[in-house]
Amino acid sequence: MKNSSLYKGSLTTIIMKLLEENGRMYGYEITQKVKLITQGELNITEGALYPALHKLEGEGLLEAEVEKVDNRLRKYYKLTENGQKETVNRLSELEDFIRNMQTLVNSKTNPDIQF
Amino acid sequence: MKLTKEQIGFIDNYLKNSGINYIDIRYEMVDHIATELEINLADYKGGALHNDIFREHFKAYMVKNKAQFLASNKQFAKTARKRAFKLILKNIVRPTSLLLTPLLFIVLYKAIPMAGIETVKDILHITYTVLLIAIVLFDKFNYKTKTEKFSVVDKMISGCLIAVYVVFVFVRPDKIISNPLWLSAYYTLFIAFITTSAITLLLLSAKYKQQYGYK
Repeated sequence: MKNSSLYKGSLTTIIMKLLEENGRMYGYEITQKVKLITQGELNITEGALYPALHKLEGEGLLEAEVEKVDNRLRKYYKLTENGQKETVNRLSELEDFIRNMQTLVNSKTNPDIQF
Repeated sequence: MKLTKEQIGFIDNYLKNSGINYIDIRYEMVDHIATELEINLADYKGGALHNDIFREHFKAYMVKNKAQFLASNKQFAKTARKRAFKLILKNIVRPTSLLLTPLLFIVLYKAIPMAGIETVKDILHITYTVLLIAIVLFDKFNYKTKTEKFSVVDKMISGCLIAVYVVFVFVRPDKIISNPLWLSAYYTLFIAFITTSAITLLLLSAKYKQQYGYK
């Protein structure tokens, strides 16, 4: 994943946001959707995506459905009721974080204030 | 261009031979790889996809991405163990268990002076030896459908057996504790743990089998 240390903490929120918008998705579909939305800037690797999905499933925020598709089984994920509530909380936290970061990054140092 | 059943089987075997042992994680990886290959080979013309072309693309894909899948598998095993113990804990604190556990404690506490400590110990040892044998037999014959393992179920079985082995062989609280009150408490907790684990195991195994279409 590009700039992994910066994006890593937000991965589960990104996944939850996508599931909130799309209902249910499978792993590969999530990676492609992120790539599409960010115009190829952000690439979620398999090594980061699946552990995040399993963690969310273990926490009861996602539930899985398995279906046979083209000679193989496909696991679809969707938000649980708790997951939907948690998505709202996490998105709000993420927005606050982005706002604070923007304020910090864009602020001009006041020469009168010394740390 | 869709991959054939044999080509899907080839991917599955490759992952299995690479150490990705759990069938539930492998299904997901197989689907991921197959979908990527199908998209890459979308422009392929000429009927069924020739095995040589498939293998060439598969090899190129794995050279680039194998490390990611192995990393994901390692992480998955850790998550599976945590999930297994969380499930047992969740079942231990269910209202039914919370009601039955003190009841069991009272029965044991009353039984020790009535039947004698050694008799109670013998009965309990037989009871949880039978339960443990049932778990081991379940591991050997029931849940490994077509010799495949489901991650959380497998981690639950191994975790329980390790915990029981440590208590039975190394700690041996029944040899240390002589006070009937503490002995009853120890037996109650131990029986509650084994019984809850066995029930959780059965429920989880049934859930996995139903989810992945095993009969």
